[in-house]
Amino acid sequence: MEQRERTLPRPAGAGGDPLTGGDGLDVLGANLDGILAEADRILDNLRPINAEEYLQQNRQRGGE
Amino acid sequence: MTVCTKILGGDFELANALDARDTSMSQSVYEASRRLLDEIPGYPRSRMWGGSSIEWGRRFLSGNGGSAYIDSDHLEINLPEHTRAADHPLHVLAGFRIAQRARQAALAKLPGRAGRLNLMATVSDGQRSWGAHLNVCVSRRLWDDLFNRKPHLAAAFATHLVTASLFTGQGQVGAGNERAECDYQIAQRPDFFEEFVGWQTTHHRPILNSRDEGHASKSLARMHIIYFDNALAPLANHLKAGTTQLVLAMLEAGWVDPALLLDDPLASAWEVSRDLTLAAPLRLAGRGRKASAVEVQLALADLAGEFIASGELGDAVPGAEEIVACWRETLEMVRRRDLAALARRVDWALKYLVLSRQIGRRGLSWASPEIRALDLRYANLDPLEGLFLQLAAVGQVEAMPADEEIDRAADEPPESTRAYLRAHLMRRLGEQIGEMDWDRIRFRHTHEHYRSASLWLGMPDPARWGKAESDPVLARCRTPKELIAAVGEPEWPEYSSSAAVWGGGGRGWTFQTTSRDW
Repeated sequence: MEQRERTLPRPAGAGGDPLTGGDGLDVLGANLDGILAEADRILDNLRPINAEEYLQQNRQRGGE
Repeated sequence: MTVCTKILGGDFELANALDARDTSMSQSVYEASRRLLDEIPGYPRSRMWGGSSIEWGRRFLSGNGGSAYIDSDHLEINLPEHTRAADHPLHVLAGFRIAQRARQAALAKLPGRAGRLNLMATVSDGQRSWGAHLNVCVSRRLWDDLFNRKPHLAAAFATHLVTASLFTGQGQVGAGNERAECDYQIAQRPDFFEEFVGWQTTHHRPILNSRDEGHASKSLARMHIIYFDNALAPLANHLKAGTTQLVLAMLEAGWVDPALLLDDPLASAWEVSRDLTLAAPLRLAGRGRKASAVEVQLALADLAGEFIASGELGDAVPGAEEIVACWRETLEMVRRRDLAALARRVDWALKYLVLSRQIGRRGLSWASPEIRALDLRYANLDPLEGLFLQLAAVGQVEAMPADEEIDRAADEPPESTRAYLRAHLMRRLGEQIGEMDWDRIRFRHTHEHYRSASLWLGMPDPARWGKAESDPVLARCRTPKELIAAVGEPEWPEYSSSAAVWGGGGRGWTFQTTSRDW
């Protein structure tokens, strides 16, 4: 598997990492191919949902 | 000074919801939690005791010796007492397995198999929060010192809890509790914490929870740690339990470095959670001093290493060297900002990686409903739906136990604590149990044609009555009377003759409750 340096994909339309104003997390010297390939496969095969409805249906009571 | 064995426990509420569109069923979290608990049998069979309008249905499980009940419309799972932090991930995953089995059984009973039951190991939906608590046995002296006499111990413990988010956080898209918006933060709980110390858990949550429910001998207490997220990754759970055992052991022995104390743990809690640089300086108590969360944690790990080398720890934390090694290794990954390595052992990093990937592939943003839904689906306990479980199944998560190991931990008790005897007593004499708690069992006793006084068996030391001590007793004793003669009776609390209020005793900020989790 290919070893390479890379950074995380930046969200579309964002100027730098939106999390930290351009100083976000890096992925240093990492072998990401395996995990990203698996993530892609899993994401592509997830049961389709209506995201808005899903969020609404799973609203909880507080607890403890 | 002897440090007491740092027995571990845990209790977590799960997010549950019934999607029952196009059916006549009630579509609610209330309905979901009840359908789930109905599928978890336990003892005592008759549950006329204890509980409240929001916490009820407690049953102890003859499989692993833990328990389950409903808390505020959440299915709550309580782990059996165990000693090794390295086993903590297995017991957490076994708790998820018990819940998932209940989900499958409940699904099969839905009319026409319509609808879906969602079960998620989260502690926030952004608006509200619920709990995933870690419990650690400490000496009564440490409890009293920390809450009543020595504020530097409280500050030291809070410093650990707040900075440990680096490896305990599950990650969350956006803010919670109406705090200032952010795209992503490393933990779900900090936004919901508003006080430093207090007994309450459902409002104005405190970093240090003083709910005093020992479930043990008067010489012991239970540190009820409500600050952490519900971690799924095995090494995150190993570190959550192990580092906390070690920090509490150090506090018990008086090993505190005043130079490490945070100036304002609450403010730092929010800062650490939102700091994706992983390097933001936090103000320390010493004048003008600052350190990042990872620097504080590295110093704590070094102190723990010195503490172990001193010999003062004794046998109080099994696997202590292993914990420190994993602790340092993980913190070095944080210091290098090596997300790819962290993603294999820390939930917030894995979730960030996957969600960032989807944002990049689909042209979404952190505010997109699709990403917020994926945030929840990360911790879905359906193995066909949950992102974590699917990534673990294909080998992308370090130290994930085999399915068979998880099943065994769901069905068999730990062998090193009283959970072993509890589970075996339920298996043998379950129908005679009238009432039980973590440290006691009341057997119904029938004498000739009438019921006479109940018989109580006590197990005040959570570190006793493991397999080696219990098996000979179980082999030679048949009746409750014989077992009580061999094992002993409970220690009764000072102000009550009922287990329902055990744990008060007038110490510190006491709180008597029927919520009893180990």
